[in-house]
Amino acid sequence: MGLIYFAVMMFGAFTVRLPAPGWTPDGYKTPIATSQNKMITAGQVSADEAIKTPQFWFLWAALLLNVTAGISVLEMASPMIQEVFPGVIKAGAAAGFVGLLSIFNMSGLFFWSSISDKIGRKATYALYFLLGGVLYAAVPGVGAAHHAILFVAVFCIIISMYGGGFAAAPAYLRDLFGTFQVGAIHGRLLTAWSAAGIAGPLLINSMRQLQLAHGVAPSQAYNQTMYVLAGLLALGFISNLLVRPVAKGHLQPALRTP
Amino acid sequence: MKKSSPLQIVISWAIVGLPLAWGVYQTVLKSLPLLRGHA
Repeated sequence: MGLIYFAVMMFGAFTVRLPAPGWTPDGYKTPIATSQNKMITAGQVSADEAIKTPQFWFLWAALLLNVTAGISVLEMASPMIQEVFPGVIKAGAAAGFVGLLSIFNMSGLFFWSSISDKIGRKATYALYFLLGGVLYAAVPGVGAAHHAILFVAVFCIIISMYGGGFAAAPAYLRDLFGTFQVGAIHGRLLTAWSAAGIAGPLLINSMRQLQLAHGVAPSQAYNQTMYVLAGLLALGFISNLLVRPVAKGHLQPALRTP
Repeated sequence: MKKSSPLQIVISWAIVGLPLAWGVYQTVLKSLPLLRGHA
């Protein structure tokens, strides 16, 4: 596996090239409406300056909350579906459920990032939080109805938005801060992902243990957690709503456009 | 401008696409019982 991984990574590393200067895809038209969208800056912001803006931290919080909810699902997917459908879904099918989530996670990267090109990053993130919140809140009802297919479908959509959150983040950063140091800003933003990697599993496991300790049946031990995750997404919605265009004072003076 | 050769593009897609397609196929096979509502 290590050798295969090495070979594929080397192939990728040596294959990727910068396009020739001035190259554009066939049919590409230079966007002329950029200045009409206030969420897309024409200026440039350095990485050091970006973390001094409220926009960065609102986006950081939005990513944290989206990933915390999504990573919680990935963490609990296999035991959850077996406990919600005891005797119906066994370990083999639960593994298939996890695999299916991975496919939708990957599909979300393509689908939601493409949507964000059409409707904008902020609207796309708003959709993640609104739709995600509704779906999380619907999970206990779907589980109680013992509707396995609908249960799987709900989580597939949820997890597609987890992937979509990652896919649209670099473009969101580029829109807000320009391309000057967008890689470094993205690196700083991904600390939200690391924080969510700790918070998500901690939250889901402690809540489940608490529910079981209070005598709640295993099949219902995730219900309250789902409402909490829906609440987190509501907070994420507000945080995303607060993202406004970056003030001109944060732009690089030499690169500032009139 | 020098374009990538069609062979290079086919090889590149195959290296990524074939393992991916195999993985997706296997995953769908394993998850079929879910779609039948029991396993």
